[in-house]
Amino acid sequence: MSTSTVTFYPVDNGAMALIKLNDDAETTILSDIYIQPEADDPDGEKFDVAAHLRKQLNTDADGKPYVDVLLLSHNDDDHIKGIREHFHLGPMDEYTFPDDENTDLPIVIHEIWGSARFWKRSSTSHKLSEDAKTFNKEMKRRVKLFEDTGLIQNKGERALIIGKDPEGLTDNLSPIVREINSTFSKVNNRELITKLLVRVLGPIPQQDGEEDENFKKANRGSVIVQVAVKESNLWDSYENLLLLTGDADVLVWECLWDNHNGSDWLDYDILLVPHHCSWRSLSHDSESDCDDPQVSNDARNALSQAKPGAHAISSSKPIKDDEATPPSQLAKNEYVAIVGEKQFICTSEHPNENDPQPLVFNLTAAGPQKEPTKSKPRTSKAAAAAAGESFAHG
Amino acid sequence: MDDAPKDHIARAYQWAKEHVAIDDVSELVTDAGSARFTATFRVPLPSRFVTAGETRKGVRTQEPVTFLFTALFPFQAPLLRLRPDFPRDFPHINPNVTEVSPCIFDGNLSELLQQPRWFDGLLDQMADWLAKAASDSLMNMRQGWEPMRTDECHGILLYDWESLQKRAEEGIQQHQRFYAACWPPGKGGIGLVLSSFEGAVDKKRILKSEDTAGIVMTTPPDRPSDRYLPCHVHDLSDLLGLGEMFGITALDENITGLRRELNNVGKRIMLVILVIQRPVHIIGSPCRYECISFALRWETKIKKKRSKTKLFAEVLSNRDVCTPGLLQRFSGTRSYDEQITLVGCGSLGSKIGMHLARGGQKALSLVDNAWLAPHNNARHAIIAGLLESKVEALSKEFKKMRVRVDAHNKDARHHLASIPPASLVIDTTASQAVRNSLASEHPGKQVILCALYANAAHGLLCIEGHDHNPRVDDLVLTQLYRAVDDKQLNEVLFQEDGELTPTGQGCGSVTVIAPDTRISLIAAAMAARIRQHIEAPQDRHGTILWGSTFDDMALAWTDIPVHPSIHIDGVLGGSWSVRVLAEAEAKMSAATESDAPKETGGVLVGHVSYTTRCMTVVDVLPPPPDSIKKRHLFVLGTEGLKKSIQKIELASRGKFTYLGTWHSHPGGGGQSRTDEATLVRITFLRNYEPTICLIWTPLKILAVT
Repeated sequence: MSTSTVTFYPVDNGAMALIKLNDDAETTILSDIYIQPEADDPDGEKFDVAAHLRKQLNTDADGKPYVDVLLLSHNDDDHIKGIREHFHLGPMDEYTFPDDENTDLPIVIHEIWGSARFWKRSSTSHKLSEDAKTFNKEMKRRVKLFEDTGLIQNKGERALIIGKDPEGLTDNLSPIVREINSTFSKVNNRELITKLLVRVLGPIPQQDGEEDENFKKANRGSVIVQVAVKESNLWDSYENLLLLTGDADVLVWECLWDNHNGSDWLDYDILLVPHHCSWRSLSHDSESDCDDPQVSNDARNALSQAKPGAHAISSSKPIKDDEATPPSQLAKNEYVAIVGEKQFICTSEHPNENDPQPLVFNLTAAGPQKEPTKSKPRTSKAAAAAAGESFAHG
Repeated sequence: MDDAPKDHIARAYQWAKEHVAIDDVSELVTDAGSARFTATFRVPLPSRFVTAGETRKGVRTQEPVTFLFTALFPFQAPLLRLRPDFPRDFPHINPNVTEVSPCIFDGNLSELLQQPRWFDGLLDQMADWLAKAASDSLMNMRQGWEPMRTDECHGILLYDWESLQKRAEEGIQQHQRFYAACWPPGKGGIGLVLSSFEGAVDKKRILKSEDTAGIVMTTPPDRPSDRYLPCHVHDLSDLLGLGEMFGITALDENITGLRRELNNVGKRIMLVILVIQRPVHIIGSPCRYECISFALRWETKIKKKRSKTKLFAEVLSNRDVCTPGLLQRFSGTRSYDEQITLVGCGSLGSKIGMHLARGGQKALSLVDNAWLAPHNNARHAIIAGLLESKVEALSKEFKKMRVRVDAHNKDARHHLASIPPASLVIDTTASQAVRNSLASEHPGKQVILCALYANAAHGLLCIEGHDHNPRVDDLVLTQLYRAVDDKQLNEVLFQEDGELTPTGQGCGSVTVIAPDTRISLIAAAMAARIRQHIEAPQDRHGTILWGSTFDDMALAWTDIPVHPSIHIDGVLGGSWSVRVLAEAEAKMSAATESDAPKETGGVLVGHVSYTTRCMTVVDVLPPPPDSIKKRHLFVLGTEGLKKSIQKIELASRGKFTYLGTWHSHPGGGGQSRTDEATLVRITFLRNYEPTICLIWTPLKILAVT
């Protein structure tokens, strides 16, 4: 593996990205999960993200596939769907190998990074999906293990909480809490300071005057991080900055600009644009209700800290100029104005709408470089087309 | 051009037009024997260079690539050409002075074209190559440092480059002179580095031959050069500039000094080797040192009583001479510096020797007194010449691989005493006399026996244990004794008529009818096992491997570990010895334990060698039912005993027989008067043939005297 990579999967209006480092352990950080049943269906039209993901993962000594980290921005379905189907949850000694060797092995998550909201129960204002409930249960289990022993747990049992709990539930858990505005570089209990630095931007605390109802929204609690992946060769070195934004709304970005204006904490080479290219991450005005919706300057500034040649990625359905948002054409226009037309990429349009493929960037010593798009095997395409239809014979 | 390639090229052209990484394709130009088009690839640049639209080295967002087809397409891949001003200071560009031809595939491009992706595979590789050039990651440090490209190569220099690199790796700073042969001297020739020397050039040596001299200069320690540049050197000034870039000091003085000496004896050529430290290992080598070589030629013209000298520096391509180190690298074997003595250089021996040499064995001693005959060509590794001994013929081949060879064209039995102690001896003679000689040798040498049976349908490989124990004769006897109760094995090992016990066949023998392929099959497996033993010697035990071929294609081996034997010297009046094989000793122990505290015993079965004066106990028969076992007495019965012994003798053609008796002293203690009397009685009954009585005690086995 010559450089580290980041792969954005085409998962409609969902999010799923894999960072794979080129350190000795080939550390993997999976940012969100959105594996729709149609993508698992061999006859389905959607790209088989789970199969692609599995090919990227290493296996442990027993042959179990694993990710070093699952970074969950928030537990809405479009960021967590598929966790029960494809991942092992529960104690490691309960891991079972399927009897049928054609069945995929569950993927082990060595360490989970998530906000403190896993303690929140399902409610009428925020109804949790079964995947979300399962995730919350797993986080609680892992955090309890730490609480009981005071020890960092083994692989498959570890958790880090991103941001303190406003109700004080994290008060005695500081070794596994990464506070807002802090940095860390230990991943899956391995120090990677020469390769990686994570700057924790969100979820930001409730702001003065902010209504409880808004603060309690799932999107509002999105984990936001700037991930710096360092790469150097004999001639160059570079910090590839990835800004992972979850579904954070305009208020969050205004606050972040207020907090980090003048620093490099909001800089990016690759911006995963918030909330699947939602207009409401940039504006307080409703796109549909307002004749002339205005961009919030502070929010736009927060999302404008593009380094030269930066890309903005919309993890969304194809962007159309219609009322079905997100993704929003208006929002896209703003990002295009920031990074340039060629540097804005929608995951469902890469390389084309008809046959979207994972979008891969090599994180080189001169900055992120989009991997050249390769042709798909023509014979496989032909086979798939023919096999999908029944033919009458006289 | 025929229609078929035209159709293929038209399809390739269409695919290029449809490829996702290509923005534009020119018209397809076809003429008599060729066709071409230019595709403009869209190159993703790293973010740092996106605004400029061009990388620091000059790769652009759009790069035209010309595909040049011949009438052999698609069996021959098209040639690829980048724009003429494409930056050349990248690795993975094919050597070429005028064109920029990227090397996009680690293998043969025409083979890539035969894969299911066909032309798309080639286009994908091209797109990938350009993307890597844009991020300056064509040099994959994990793969290793790509050696400097030489666009103009003027000749070849042969040398043991690996040794030179290794010496540099070991920190030996090399600024040395060497003699070299040149054929023909000058441009386009081949040079061979012969030997290094110190001081001034030996004029006599140089004058009498086409030899010349050269110098090796190495970069200072811990000053790795991380610049990748193609090697463009045309004159002395270029060469000195290159040396300066690499931080090599005093290159000018060294060249000038040697050139003057050579010029004085009329030579007009010298060689220069620069040894450059790189930041990582060189591709395909464990070393970080890259060697670049040059021929420096000069011409002196005298005009108006003033002489003017012109110097030309020419880049040479390095080629390895064949060395064991090189062969080890390509075979994936490990170094073994000790000499191996190969006793017997017949068909089997020559093949095993050849496998070991090809695997990088550094030194071999060959012992055989036979001469190659025409019929040997059926199976021997060497084609018979006229009046050539086997060892001479084989050593000639080994020397081509720079294996150190001693050839001894004599009877092995005369040579065994000369074999250095603690060395490995491979006996392929199928001679019991040689084997017995080796068995009699002083401990130290380790013997491996290789033999063929039943027209080479079977093979026996015996590897002695640590410190000569179990010995080769122990192992062979163990295998032969296995045949007593194994009908199939018996047919193979005791198939011949008469009283002789075969010990394998010398396959140079005209009586052996076996194809070369069958012997090669077994020889290759034996050599592989010997190589494994050399690289990772087994534990203390010895090993028997019995191989059987099937349909001259498959080969299956049975692996039998054999534990050390017990050796008792000084029996039968002092000049004989007894060896008790581990399996027999184990039976004695088990019987003793079972009957303790009573004494027990039985009959010793084994082999008598009058040559080595050794009695080898391979088995013990249980006591007959009418035997008496008491606390201080064991009386061996007779019921069924004669029949049991006869059965063994018959099955083994007399190889194994009754040797004497054994009994136990569970509480310890030496021989009794009864024991002494019994020995006298049995010896008398056996007409004074070698006879032994053994006593098993908890501490050791004693021989009654």
